[in-house]
Amino acid sequence: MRGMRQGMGQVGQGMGLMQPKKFAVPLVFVAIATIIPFIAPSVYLLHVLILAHIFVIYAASWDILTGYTGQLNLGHAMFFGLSAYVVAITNTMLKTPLFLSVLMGVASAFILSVAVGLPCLRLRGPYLAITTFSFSWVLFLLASSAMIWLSGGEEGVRGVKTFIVGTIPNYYLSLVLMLISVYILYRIASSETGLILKAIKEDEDAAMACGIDTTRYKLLAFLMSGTFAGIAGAFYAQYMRIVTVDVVTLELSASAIAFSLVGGIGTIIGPAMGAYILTILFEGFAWLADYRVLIYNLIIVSFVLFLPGGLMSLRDLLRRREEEGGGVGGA
Amino acid sequence: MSRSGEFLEVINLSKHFKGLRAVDDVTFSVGNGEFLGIIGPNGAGKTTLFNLITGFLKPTSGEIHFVGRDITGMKPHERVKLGIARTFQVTKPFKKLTVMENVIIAALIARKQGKIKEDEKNFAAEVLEKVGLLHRKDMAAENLPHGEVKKLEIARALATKPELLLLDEPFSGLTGEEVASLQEVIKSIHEDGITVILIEHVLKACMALSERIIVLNYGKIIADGTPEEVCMDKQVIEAYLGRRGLEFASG
Amino acid sequence: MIETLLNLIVSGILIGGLYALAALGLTIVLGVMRIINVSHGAFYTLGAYFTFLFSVMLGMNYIAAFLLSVVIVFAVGVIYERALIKPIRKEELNVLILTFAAAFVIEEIVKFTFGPRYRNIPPYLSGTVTFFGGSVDVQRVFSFVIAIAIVTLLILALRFTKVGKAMRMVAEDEEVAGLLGINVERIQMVSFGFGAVLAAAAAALLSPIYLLYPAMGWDPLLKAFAIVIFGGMGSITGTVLTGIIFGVAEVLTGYYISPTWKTVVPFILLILIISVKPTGLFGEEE
Repeated sequence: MRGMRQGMGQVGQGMGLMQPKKFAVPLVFVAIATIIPFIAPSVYLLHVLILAHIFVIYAASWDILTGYTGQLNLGHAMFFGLSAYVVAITNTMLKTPLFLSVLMGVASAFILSVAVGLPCLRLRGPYLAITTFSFSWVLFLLASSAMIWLSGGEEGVRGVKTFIVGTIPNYYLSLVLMLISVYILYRIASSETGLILKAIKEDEDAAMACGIDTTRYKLLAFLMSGTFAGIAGAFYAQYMRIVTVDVVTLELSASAIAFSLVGGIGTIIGPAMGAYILTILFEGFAWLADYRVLIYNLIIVSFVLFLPGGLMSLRDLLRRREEEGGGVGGA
Repeated sequence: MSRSGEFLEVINLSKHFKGLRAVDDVTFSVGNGEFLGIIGPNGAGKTTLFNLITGFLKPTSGEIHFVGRDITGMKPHERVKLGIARTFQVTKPFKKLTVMENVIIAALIARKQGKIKEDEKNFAAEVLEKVGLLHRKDMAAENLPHGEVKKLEIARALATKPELLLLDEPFSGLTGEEVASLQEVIKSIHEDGITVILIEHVLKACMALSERIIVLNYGKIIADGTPEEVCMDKQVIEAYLGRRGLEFASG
Repeated sequence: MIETLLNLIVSGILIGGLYALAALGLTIVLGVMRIINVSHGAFYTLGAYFTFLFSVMLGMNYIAAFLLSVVIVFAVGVIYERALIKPIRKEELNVLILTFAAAFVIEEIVKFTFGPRYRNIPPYLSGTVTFFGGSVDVQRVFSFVIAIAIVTLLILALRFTKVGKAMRMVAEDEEVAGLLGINVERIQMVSFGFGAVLAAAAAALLSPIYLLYPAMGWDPLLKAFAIVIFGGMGSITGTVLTGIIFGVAEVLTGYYISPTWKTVVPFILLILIISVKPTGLFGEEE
């Protein structure tokens, strides 16, 4: 544990040069996020922000598997959705206490990530994508038709308990949960482990030749990814208090990709940013809702073609230009 | 055949692909500190043999022993841990990462396994120095010229702290000058006590470096001896001159 | 009992032939371009809706509507390849992501154009044929026969025409094909168009049997994936046989277990197979 912390510290330093600047942005963000309920006490705005926080976790969790490790997951909604359903079903039908339901929800996402991850360890490229896609499609078919007696289909499972009543408390709860999740994922991503994951993404054979147990690290990425998506799904279930088939749709899987591409794949912070921007945009302007799927996917297509590095790559470009005179810092 | 055979022993090793015998009942051993060259025409099974020794392929039959241990069923990363490192004929750098990061990744694993005590960055820098790439450390690997990518491959393999280093055609595609400079690097690696097995298509460099040479043809060993002996061998001359241009997948 | 079973098997074979047709489109694109086209289902959707547009909305003859749809989808496929695939073809991850997203874009455009509700194309052939004491709709038999005719034509075209030979050569080795003077990019563009056409043709043939809705393409897409993986890459006979096995399995599950499970079973099978024996499916060891 100590070794790991040290390792993280070192890499952090390596990235550093401008420590104060590095902390400035997150601090300003946290400050603004903390006072928003006071300066803009609109229930609707807070609701949108809560959703944004949930999707930030969801997007960042996709990124650790696909953005960092290069294992394309086309069905990420399965982790989010399974967890949400398990929370809702256990809580309403089995009457388990909410905290236990949430634990079971997250655990189910964890187990699913093992179930999907294990066969995927031996697959590469398109076969992996097809497999993740098929898993989520099965879940969608179950929820939308084959097991409708359990899922409630379009009607959903209603009457889920909530941890705290009220928009403002839920806002703070979601904010804290989001900050912790993103912080953990970001620290892992910028640690030695993150570097190893990147190596696997770049070239799996070469990573093996470096002595990396690629199987173990890929499974680890699956587990982290599935678990954090499960956390987002569980929070969603207790906040919305209703879970419908929306949580396992292909559209929701596609939005993980849209969030990440907008912000910048393989950066954790980028996908978090993307989730924020797109959620606020689409939940904020109700008339856009009908066009959401269309626009999300147009965004994906355009970013893949014209700005595959997302908004974060623009920032890097600016920074590089700034530094050009001053030489390259770091290690 | 068993001269100091306790270091690396390849015993009756075969690999068949859909009826094609890429490696066909090959037996040889390598002594600690030796410099072995493996030559042979295209498709002779050289790279397949490397993939078997490093665990990237599973043999159809036969065994591989390293320092007295049967490693036939081990995974590639487990063999790296034991001290077997390799480079790839078609280079596989981590393109988006810097040269330094490329090497650090291998060093990191070596540190975790207790093979190096020092900080992996210092160690990586030393390795880069050794192959003459330190001045490129902050460059993204994808921007390196071809000759230096070949060196990066070697640096990355060295950073795993190997006892046995397998080099798969490190000279291919290099200019005369680059060949000379890389030849020096490889020579000094061997002088540091690392056992080297070198596959080469370009015979000149291989002959100059190797103490002993094995010639493969159609997956079989057709000659095994000093460079001088091998050059005089009838079968070898026939394989190279008489039946050149055999066309199956490059091996 | 036996009669019902025979009936079911026959109708399964008929449907399966059409699945195989759709899957072949995916195989061709995979073989020639080495990409998995996640938009394949969207071309299926387009084929169905264009047939609906021409035959129901514009009142054209069914055969004419079918041919016109196929030609239009070919053009769409070619433009799609040029504009979206060509610039990024070497980046596997991006191709998958882009074709996934583009499928939604096409689906949404269909939704805004034709509306989200179910549509249907009335069968243009009526009556039933009897087989071994069982009976099937003439419509299904006709669609199946056309599908088999298309597959046969395709096999012949790949073997004997200039474009077909070039496609096989590019599939074998892009570089060598280029060296031999084949315009690789052009062949890939055309292959992509053909791939789209096969999806569209399957949809057009199925449209008098199944309902139309904007998201209709996902199910055949995933079935095509499954068939391609089961049937072995690039093997036309394997694909056709697996398609038929799928069709029969689906119809039998629908009848004997439950109609809502019939769509789930193939994917559970796919997941099981892929978990047990992933290497056997694409067997590229070196």
